[in-house]
Amino acid sequence: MIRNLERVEVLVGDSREIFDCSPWKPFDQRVVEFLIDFSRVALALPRETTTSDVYALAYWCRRANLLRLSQSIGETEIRKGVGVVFHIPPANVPLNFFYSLAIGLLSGNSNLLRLSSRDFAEVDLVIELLKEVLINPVHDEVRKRVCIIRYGHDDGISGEISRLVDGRIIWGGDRAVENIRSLPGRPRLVDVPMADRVSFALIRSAAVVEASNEEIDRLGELFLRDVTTFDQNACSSPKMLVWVGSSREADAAQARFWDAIDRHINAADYLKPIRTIDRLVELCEATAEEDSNISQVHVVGPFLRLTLADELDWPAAAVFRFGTVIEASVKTVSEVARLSSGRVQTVTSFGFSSAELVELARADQLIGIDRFVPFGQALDFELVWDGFDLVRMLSRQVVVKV
Amino acid sequence: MSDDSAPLAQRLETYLSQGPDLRSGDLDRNEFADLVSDLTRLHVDKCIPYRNIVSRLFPTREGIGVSNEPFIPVRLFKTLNLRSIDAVDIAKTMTSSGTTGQEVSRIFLDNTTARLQTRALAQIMSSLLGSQRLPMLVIDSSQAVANRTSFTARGAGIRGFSMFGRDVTYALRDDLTLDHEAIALFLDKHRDSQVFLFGFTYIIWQNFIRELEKQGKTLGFRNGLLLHGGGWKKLIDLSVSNESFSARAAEMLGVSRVANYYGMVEQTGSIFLECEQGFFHTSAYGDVLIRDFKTLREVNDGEPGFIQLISILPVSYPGHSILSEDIGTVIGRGDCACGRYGKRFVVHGRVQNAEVRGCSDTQP
Repeated sequence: MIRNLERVEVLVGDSREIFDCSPWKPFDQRVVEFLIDFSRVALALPRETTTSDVYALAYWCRRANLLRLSQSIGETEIRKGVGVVFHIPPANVPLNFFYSLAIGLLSGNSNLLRLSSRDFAEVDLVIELLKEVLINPVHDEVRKRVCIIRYGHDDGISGEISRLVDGRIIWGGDRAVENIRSLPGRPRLVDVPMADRVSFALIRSAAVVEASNEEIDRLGELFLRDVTTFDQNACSSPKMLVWVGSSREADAAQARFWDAIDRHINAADYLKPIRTIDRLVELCEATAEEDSNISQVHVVGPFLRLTLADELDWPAAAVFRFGTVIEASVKTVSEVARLSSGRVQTVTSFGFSSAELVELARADQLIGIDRFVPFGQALDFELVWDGFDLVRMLSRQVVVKV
Repeated sequence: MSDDSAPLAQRLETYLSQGPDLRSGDLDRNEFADLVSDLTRLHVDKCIPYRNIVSRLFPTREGIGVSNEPFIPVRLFKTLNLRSIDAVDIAKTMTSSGTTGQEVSRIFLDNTTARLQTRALAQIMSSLLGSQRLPMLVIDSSQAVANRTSFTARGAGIRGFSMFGRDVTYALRDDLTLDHEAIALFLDKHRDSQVFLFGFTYIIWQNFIRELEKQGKTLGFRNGLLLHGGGWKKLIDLSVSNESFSARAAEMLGVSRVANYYGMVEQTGSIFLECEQGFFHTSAYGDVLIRDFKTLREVNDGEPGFIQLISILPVSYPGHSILSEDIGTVIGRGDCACGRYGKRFVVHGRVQNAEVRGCSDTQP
């Protein structure tokens, strides 16, 4: 149990009970039923009291999706949770904490989750829903496996917890990972480090040229969803758009694509006014440098298109957000490997066959890229994240031979 | 002052001598637009960071007129050192804290720019007060101007405006409480003459008007003109509108005219004065453009957006065209009941800040 409790606010559960539970197998029926109940309660909220990320979370926890996810572990594979998992979610993605908790539960563990002191209305809402569902005696055993605490940045408390747990899932990028990993734990402690990552979109110019008007409109909408969620500031938010094809095709495709974006964006009320200024300040600061990699900035409605002097160095320019997109061109899909590095997480793609992408993914030259998904799914949370099979990492496999 | 900027500085001096009032035929403002465009050219030439920004962010400047001039966000003066003069030519550095964050704007003035600022402000003030210096009551403490080495916006403002008054008297003690004696003495001395009252909006409200109310006192500045500005963001927080401020000030102080001014420390001198109808007006020395919250394209009159401020005074730093975080609306052009020409506009307040989301940083 945690001794420094007076510095900790316990929001949900009991910080002692979580250490008294035995691990379950992944996708245990008790966990699945609990998540389904949570989904049901959240989906029953009137739409005007909820936000799109609460809705997306509720949708993720519904029965059909959990069943699909549970297929990832085969019938013959015997696994058990590692024990107690300490979750350190990022401060700035409000509902990430619940996905992290769900992973911890689905992999069979007890969970101690630290929320940061930053206040988000949707976090409070989800905490209330969570309590409401856990209070049902049906979920008594799940209740014992969930403890949510809140404290400010405090290595004393994080260090004490680290010595007690069997796994840590560390979100929040390089700094958070380095900080938490500097705190020692038990010999068999398992860390899941979510480091700083960048993502881009891959688009076949010819496919854009050939697409119907409806398809282009839809593509624009999906791209907007990927870019605008979390202010384009999540690790899977596309920061660059890579056009594949001849330069003639690219010119035609770009004109068509950006025209569609320009038409859609006026309807989409995604960007807070201050962000227009924020990104202008960030861009001015960057372009003021004599050796800035940004050679040109083009405005498309409320979007900014950046041209770089050196495309290979794009991850350094991927710090821009709030609707700022770097553009690059390659002739063939195999050249994409040039633009990839170990820091690349997600590639959203349009206009490629699965065979082409599989070939690219398998190529020796390709460093990085953990995930290829269609446009519109950049921020959809998956059990394999950042290249890690989360359920397997947070559980141990039991081998039985006779 | 460098040799290259001398001809422009001279043209600016000549232009300033024509006075701040726009005339009915000035709709095109060609001479003004030329000066602004030459300022852009000067700063592109002299200020390397500014040149880099303009060449990358404003590669093509199609069309003519101030709408097509590059603009930089005013916040940039907090994060970059932007100047178009050599370090040895810096005569003084102005700073302003602003309400958000701890960063401070740094504005580098040479003698030329300082002189142009003083000149422009003098012209604007004489159009408001007449050419005579009036007895002046500063609604602040003398402490605000005590430190001559640090040029805070408040101190610089008081010092700058004090040039247009005589018998300058401070109405507040060092702890910002009412100096009844000084006020009574001033009133007694200048009972029948025109007087000039000046201060910062928030301090006038909080430490003068509200205090007088609490003490159940009113003052009788029958021939008084109250000029105030700055710090109005705090008044918005207190839900005090410009109208209720004016009405309350007139009632409590007895003044016959209350005028607000709008301006930025980055464009000291070319302030915009509020008319009798309650609108700010552009002058021959400055202009405002309203830009769309998302696209930053210029919006139609009547629509709100970010206020871009243009001034012909900044020669030593690239602050002649800046995008503020203030929200405003141009109400009309040359059609104000007060009889003044130029654009008339209102300032609604400052855009709201908001938490940035994203994956990194778990630290609170």
